[in-house]
Amino acid sequence: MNTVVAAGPDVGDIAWAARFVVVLPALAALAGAVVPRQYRTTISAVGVGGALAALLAAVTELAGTGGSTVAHSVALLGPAPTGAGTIDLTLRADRLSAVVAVMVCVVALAVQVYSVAYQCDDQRYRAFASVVSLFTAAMLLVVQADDLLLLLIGWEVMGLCSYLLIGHDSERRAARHAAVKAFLVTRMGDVGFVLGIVTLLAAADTSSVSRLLEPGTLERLSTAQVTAASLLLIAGVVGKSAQLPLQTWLPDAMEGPTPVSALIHAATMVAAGGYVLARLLPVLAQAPAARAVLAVVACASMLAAALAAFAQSDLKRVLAWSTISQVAYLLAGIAVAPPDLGAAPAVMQLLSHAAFKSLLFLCAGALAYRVHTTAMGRVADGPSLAGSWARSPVTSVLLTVGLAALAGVPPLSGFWSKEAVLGAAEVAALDGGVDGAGSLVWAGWLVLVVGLVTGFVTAAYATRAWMLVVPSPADVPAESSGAQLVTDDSPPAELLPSVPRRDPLLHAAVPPAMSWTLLGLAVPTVLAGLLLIGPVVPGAIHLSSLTGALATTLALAGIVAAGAAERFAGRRVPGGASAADRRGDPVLVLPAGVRAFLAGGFGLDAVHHALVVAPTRLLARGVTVGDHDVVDAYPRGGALLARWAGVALRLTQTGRTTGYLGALAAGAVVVALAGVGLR
Amino acid sequence: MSVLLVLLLVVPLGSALLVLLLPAARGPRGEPLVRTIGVSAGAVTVLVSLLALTRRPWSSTDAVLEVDVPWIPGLGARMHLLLDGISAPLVVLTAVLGLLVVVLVTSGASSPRGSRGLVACLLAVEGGALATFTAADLIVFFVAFEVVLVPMWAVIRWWGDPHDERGRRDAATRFILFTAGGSVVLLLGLLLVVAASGTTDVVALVSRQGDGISQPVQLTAAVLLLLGLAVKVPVWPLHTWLPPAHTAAPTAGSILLAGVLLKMGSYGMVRFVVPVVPDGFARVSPVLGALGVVGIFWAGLACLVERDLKRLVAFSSVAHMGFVALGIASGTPQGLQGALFANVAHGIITSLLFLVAGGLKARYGSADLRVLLIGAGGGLRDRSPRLGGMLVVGCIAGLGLPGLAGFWGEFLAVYGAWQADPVSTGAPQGFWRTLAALAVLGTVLASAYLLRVLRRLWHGELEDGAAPTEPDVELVRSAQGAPSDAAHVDPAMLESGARAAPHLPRDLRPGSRWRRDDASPVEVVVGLPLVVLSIVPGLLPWLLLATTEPAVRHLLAVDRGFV
Repeated sequence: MNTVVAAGPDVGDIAWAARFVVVLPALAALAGAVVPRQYRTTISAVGVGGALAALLAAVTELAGTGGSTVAHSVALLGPAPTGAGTIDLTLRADRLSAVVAVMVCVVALAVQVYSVAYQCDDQRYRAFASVVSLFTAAMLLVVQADDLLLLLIGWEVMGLCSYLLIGHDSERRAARHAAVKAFLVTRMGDVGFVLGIVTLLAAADTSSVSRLLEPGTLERLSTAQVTAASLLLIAGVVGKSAQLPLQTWLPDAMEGPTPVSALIHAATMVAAGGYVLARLLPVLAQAPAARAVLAVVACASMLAAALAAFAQSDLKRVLAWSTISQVAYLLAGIAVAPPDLGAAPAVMQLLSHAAFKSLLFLCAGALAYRVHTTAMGRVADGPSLAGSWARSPVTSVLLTVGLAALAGVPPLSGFWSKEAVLGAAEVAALDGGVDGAGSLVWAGWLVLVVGLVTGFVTAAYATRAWMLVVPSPADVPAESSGAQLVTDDSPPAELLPSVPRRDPLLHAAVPPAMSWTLLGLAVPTVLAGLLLIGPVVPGAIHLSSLTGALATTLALAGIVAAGAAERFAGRRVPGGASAADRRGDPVLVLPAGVRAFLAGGFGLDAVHHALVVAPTRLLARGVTVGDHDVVDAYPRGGALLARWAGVALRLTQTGRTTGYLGALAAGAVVVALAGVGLR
Repeated sequence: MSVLLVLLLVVPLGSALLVLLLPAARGPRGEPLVRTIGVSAGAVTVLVSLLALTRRPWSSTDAVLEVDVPWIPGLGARMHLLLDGISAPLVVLTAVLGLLVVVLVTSGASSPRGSRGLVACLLAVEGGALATFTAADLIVFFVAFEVVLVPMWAVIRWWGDPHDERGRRDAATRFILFTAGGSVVLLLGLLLVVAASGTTDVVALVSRQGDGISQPVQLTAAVLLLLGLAVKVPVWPLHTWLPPAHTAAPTAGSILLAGVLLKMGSYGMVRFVVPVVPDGFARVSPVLGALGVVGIFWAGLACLVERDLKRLVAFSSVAHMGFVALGIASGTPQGLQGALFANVAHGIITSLLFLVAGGLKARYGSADLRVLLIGAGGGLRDRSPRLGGMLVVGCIAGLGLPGLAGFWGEFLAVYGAWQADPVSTGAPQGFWRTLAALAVLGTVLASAYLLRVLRRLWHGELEDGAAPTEPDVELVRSAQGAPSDAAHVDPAMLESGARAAPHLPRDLRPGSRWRRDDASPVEVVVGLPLVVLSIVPGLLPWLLLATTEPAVRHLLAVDRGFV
């Protein structure tokens, strides 16, 4: 996207629209926080109104920028002089920012409306609504930022908001733990992000994205500088977008209320990483080594997360791992982005993922609204989502649509966006990638192959999730003997009570605020493919019938395989179970050890603990001791020395004349002897 | 001669004398008078400092706010005061904090000694600090630097932690010995500069940029000056006086100590070392930068396991001042800008944290995280939302979240270190960039320990997620000074916390209509400005950066091609 920064005729409107997109939800956050707690309606209105107003502003911005490739730079908070230059702190309004801003606002609006009902007996609803607004504002700041430091502000404020929201139910230890973990793990990645910004700032002498992308600026930088900056930025993205090996925080983040998960996964934090790289694609284009690293990380995360999703026993955890996998598609699309297509395939994946993932999470919340758990399949002594069809048919249908889009069933949105990414990979593999120098051929093949394989696994885990949630256990043939407890190798369901615990009688039906939200989100989930033919997505999409057919076949194969595995697992598991426990779980075809390894996230938590947490704790203890016994020993020793010297010298002050005279005489003798000796 | 500048010093110092000497201010019946004089002196000082801003002292390098009269002809020292872009933010910060602490001690916690002496000491500290920040003569600077010590010692010694007489005495002695020791070294350095250059005037020294001072003398002077000032900052490993001083000091003392006194050291480095002996400074700067980064890590690690909230905040000060040291050491405009920004931001944020920590200690008798939590009967989030909110803002700003005040200083310090000149400093670029990278890693450490504080106090989690145990009850009781009765452990005791805690703020005593668990009106009045100031400079960094930039460029002679 070689866009020009220029002032068009309607630049005033666009500038104000871009400012309002960021400022209005921020104001809603502030206003919501000062409304007295008991005025719930006002608080809801402020939250929903903030998101709605931002959506209107974003649509205005899209209307002004949609048709052109012009980017507008908009002053916001700056400029701030650093002593050797300025930090502009400007916003940028162009097609990419407008499209993504609309998406963010739609999801934020959905989450706000949904939460009015979902959080209806939350004592801390005010804080919740306010922080969701702030979260939205922070993401929109990232989307609109034209300055890397402004982007960093949004980036980190999102981290804060995720901390506050994941730990919203701070009565539970798991929620507190997950909140701190999310903040610290992403901040670990942000060390790279900050240093990447410093590198770019130092090398290019500007923090403005527009000026960075101007023709000539990047060419002035050495390959080493660009590669270092790109790799450092990618480190930050790996943290925020929860890619391997920093993905550990995301499954735990399911401790947050379900609408928060929808927000984090679909529209904000996790998506932000991909968006930033799409924005800075021209920088990455200069650094093939960094792109290769990104391709490898994305492919590893894509496949591993899909496998992990297959082994989860909780619907929200399935969705969490699927986010890691789907965002990896997005990042892979950036890694192999051919020059003429730009970041379009990745943006496409960003948009369609936002649609179906928010739908899926909010469906999960709506289903759990009735049973107060998000556990799937049969759970020994407790409720589970199994048999949702009988309880909530409409929500079940919508969940099915979302899962089908996730699995990449044509013609739903997920199919098209995945095709776009695989098409880009095919171009890179066959045509030699970005520079035409063949540097990314292997990366293209890697993404293509791993992407297709992951498509198979994705279809399988989506099908498995559907089988364990939607059908009633009763319509299973009686001959398949049940398992004792399918969740044996995963955290028990009670660890994930991110669903409000309420009296079931009070919530006989899903409130309209929630069901209408779901219906609304189903529209883009189904129809997002239309964006391909519209002028909305910047850049172009390459679709190939070969990869399309291959991917579809593999997806269907995945569905069939999951079904077959279910039959097989149903037969293999020893009987003796009650009538309610008859349905087999496809994951039971895997050996128990493999299941545990996948469900537990590949043991990376233990690795983090051994490599980072434990040494830090040890060092901290050492420092405490060292501070007292080493560093402070010198001053204390000095004080002691002074006291002893005082004590010793006092001995000479006896007050007896004879003593003094004796000392005087002795001194005289010494001096005399010294005089003699020296001569 | 600027009347504003004279007023800026005369009002707080004169009021301190007035409070001390006026017979009507003595005894309990004099308290209202003390309050009137103290608060009006603080308010007038704030007003004067704001009026001074309207003269736009940063807009040119020509002094618009200056006092220059002969003082000690024998030494060639003149009473030369100057308010420029570097002084202005610190002067305003000092004035604001001065007002807030006087409000806090005259309407808040009572002391058996009365508030007369305390107010006088606080005003004296404020006046001395204002003189330090406006001094443009080496001798004036040194005198002002010293004037602050004795009243601050008295604040710690006499109005400090009422529960720990011995700790108070020890902390006060440590404070005075460390800083006076540093001052001796500082004086040697100043005299060396005076002897070598023949002038005590800083304006002249800055314009010479070290010309006429030989390299070895510059190096010696830089070492002496930095060593003396580093005690005050404090730079690791000269920091061991700070945690006890903060632990023992009353809240007002802690606020002035962190917000004003520490800044005198870093300000001194920027004003009296970097431009005065630039070559010598450049040679020493790698050591200063490395010590700053060691401080960031050392203090950060110590905070991870520290149990006493006040000590923890004190250690976090050492870490934050490590960023300041790193920024100064870089010798770049960005680094200096960052150091000056971090100076002000740290003053605000740490004051806010000490306000909360001091308030909690006054309520529950101890600053031990466990005791506080048990005393409060649960997380502050629900129990005391206002105090909890202040704690959250302080912690989040303290961990350097972009968009809040703590970020820009640290970022620019890192940026400056990244850009440090390998030729003049004699250290390779890789060295400086490693320091920068480590400093960023230090911010993760800051996140870890401040989120730990929030998890304990705000979310309300005991060390291991367990319920209070019998030893905890003992701990709380001993902190409250109540007779211990091990045979009868009443769980309700945990709920009620320290009902009988002495030294409660006046408006929280029995019969007050405010819930004593949450922030009192006085705490809100003092805390709210600090909360706002923790946020605004983060969103509008140019407020500070544009103020200091011309002066920083002048000090570094950027436009003359030295950098």
